[in-house]
Amino acid sequence: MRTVTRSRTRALAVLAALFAVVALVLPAGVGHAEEAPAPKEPKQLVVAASQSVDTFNPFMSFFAIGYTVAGLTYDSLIDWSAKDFKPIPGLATKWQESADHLTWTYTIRKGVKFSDGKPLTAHDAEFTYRLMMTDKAARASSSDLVENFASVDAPNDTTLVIKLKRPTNQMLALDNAIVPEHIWSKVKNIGDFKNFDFPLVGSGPFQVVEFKTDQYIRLKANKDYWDGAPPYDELVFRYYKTPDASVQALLAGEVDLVSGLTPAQYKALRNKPGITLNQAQNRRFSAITFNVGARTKDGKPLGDGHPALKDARVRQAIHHAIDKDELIKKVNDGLAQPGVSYIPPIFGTYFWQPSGSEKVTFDVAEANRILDQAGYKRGPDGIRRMPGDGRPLRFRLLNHSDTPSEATDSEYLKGWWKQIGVDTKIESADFTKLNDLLYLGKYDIIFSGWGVGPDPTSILSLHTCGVLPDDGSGTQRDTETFYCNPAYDRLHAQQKQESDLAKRAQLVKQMQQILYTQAPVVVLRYADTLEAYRSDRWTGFVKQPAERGMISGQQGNWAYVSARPVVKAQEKESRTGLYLGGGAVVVVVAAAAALVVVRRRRTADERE
Amino acid sequence: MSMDPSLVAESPGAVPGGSGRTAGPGRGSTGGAGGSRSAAGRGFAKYVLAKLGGAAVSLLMVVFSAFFLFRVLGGDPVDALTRDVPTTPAERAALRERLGLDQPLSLQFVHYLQGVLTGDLGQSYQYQQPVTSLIGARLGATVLLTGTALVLAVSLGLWIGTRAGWRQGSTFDKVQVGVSLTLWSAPTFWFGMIVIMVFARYLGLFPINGMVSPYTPDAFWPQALDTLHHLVLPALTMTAVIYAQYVLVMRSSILDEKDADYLVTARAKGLRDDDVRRRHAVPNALLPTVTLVFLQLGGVVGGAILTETVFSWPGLGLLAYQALRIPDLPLLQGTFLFFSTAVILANTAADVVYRFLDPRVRHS
Repeated sequence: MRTVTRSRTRALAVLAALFAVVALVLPAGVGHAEEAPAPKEPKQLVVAASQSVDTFNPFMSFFAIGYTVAGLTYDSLIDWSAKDFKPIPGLATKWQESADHLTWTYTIRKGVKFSDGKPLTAHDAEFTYRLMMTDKAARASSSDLVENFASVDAPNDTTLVIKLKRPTNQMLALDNAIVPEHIWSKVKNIGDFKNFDFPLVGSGPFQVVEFKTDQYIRLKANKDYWDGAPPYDELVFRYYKTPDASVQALLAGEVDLVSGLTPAQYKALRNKPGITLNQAQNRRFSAITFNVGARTKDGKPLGDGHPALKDARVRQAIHHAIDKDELIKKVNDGLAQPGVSYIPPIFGTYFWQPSGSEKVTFDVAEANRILDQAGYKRGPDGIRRMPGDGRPLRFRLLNHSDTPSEATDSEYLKGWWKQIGVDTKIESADFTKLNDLLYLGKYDIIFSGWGVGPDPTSILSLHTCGVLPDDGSGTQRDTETFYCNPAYDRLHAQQKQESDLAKRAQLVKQMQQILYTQAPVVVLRYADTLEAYRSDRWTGFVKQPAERGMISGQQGNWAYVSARPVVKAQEKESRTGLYLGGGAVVVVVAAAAALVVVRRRRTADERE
Repeated sequence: MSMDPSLVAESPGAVPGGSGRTAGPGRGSTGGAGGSRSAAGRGFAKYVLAKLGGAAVSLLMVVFSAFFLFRVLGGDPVDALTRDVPTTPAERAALRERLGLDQPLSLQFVHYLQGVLTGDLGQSYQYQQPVTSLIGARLGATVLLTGTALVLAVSLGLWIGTRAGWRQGSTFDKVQVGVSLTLWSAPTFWFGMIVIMVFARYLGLFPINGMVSPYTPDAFWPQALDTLHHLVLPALTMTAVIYAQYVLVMRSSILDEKDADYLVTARAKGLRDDDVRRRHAVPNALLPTVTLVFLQLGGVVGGAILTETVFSWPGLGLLAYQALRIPDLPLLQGTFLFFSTAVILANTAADVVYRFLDPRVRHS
């Protein structure tokens, strides 16, 4: 009997220890959903993030999350409107372009203060741009913008004058951070400066007060913000390395806003109480691009692309043999728009749509007709041959091995293309390997996709002659298809200088028309951005653009500045849930302990 | 590609038979007890030296392979770094220059070697911080998580394994072996998600992500409790996934001992079954498990990478995972070097300790 008593005591001890642990853990187990009774907890909007931050130095940041945080911390001269991405006043209330397009004069907003109380003037803007002009590190992530600056001057506190070497419409896209001179003038080496001295000092609506690498970034609302204080206390970006975990965190109330959901995750969140979904336009497109004849700038061919793809008729026929609606139905669960223009429809100003006769529709007969007419006759195996050397139309289709949807896409494409006498060999490579092959010209057709910014110049430059490589080493990695067309290049140069928005849009649309009819690239779809947020706690998010806009990943701070906490007594409800949950665990633990005791007793009896 | 450094780190002599490869220490030791002891001492020193030499050679190989292994991945990290951000060619060129990717490979290798020799593992591409300080900052989190999980897994595993082996064929044995094998074969990612769904989402008891909350007061006790609170689910997951191996080894070890003559003797002396097990069988059966604890450090690394990723636990595993995604070459090299070194040292330690513990190895 001694053993029985001992084991029962032990089981009781274990039970007591478990109770102690549960008791210890429960008070700490209160998520931020529950308002602590004693001191008022700051009202925090918690956003799920997955990308690491390398630096809070706005000049050096290359990551999307870095842009977001820099945009929250600092202001820029010009903002992108929430409604339609048009340039609107930021720190600059108005601007004027000289008749020769070489002098731009900005009027700087009065009464703006940095978060440390010091006033922001035109001199801070002058300092910022001069820093970018003189310091190589300071312009590393701001393109070649300031290279075109002849001079920057602030004749007084509210005027900034920028003189240019050549006319450019980039002066309407001055969305870079304006930093306080009284802090940044003391920085010795911009390239090494991480800006990790918290709280950060900026004039934006939020400033970073705490940062734990790969854990969270905590930003405090600027109560004196010139455009009105954010209606809550803190904005927190929390890290979730796996999207599934962030979805669970949303459901558990640990996070308020999750973006970048897969269609499956999105559908699983439907009809969950307290959660609202947002199916928004995305700034990304996915496409296939053709090797239209890989070559260097001076025309030396490189790689081993199939010669038939130099023929625009072949590319156009292939375009006709793609059922984009079917792809979207099968791969995206319907949550995407079929692709046409190179600039996604989210940027309504520059989006172009083919007119009736130009429009390429899914039409296998038409594709066959084009190829027949072009002289690509079918061989005995049904595969078409090139006129002349009789080389079969057998293309390698290269997809990203880390993007499963592309594997599905590939199978569909192969099926349709077979119907037009084109044989496809599907290959997979990881992201870096795939890019290596691309820049060496060792591909025929390749999956591609880009995130597009509100200014179309850089994305359109992917198809200009200027980005062809100097040599065949594959180290210059700027072209996408080795496409080169002087007419396209002329339009690109023109649109870069045109500061009349409507005229520029016209030029940009013409460029996209060329891309569409010449088809070095076929845009397959614009997949929607899928987001979800706790609408039982937050409301009022301003979306960008107004129609089917997104909440996260905006060009600007519209959503974060406009979010408002929902005022309602939910404390009781969530506490009940907590106690229920805690109670359930205690019951389970007690049952397990009882089981152990019973079992121990029986075996002990057997032993005696 | 595999991050499991145990592939690289060989484990010479970790099993009793393996030590036969080194010079037998007892050889030629004749004469009195005193003479034999000093000879054995010399032999032991020689043995340790040989093991250390082997470890040094392994380390050297790791240092060289770390550089080239990840270059085989190919590609341009700049593409990956700027994947979701619209960048101009000039910006990408600037980034490439900043990361030193514009230099020829041979020069990069020389820099790397110089760095390793001076304790500088370079600068991470994505964090823009020295790799050594990144590793240093994450070490604590990993030691806390894997340490907790290892202690729990070992104690649970040995306890269950002993009992299961002692009562082979009993319901307890069958159930426990079944449960541990099921958990052992469950993918960590999947199991982690189940744990998250049950304990964090439905019961709302524990947080899902990270090690600390952004709303905990900045004082010792709240912070410690908060960390403990965050530790529960990842530690539980990792324990569940790794304890099976200890169960199985301990169980088979006990089975080996169960019918040994000395246990018959012990029983014949009239000792109770419990005492026979606890005082006689377990100590002897523990030996192979000691080796396993050391050897499995490599496996624990793999478990840490997966567990830390599911729970966003900011340790070395998560760091390695992040490095792999870009690929962040200096960080990959650094974490690889670190893990490999840890495993090599652990294996060497296992050899030495084992020899110390097991007289059979000493006299072989």
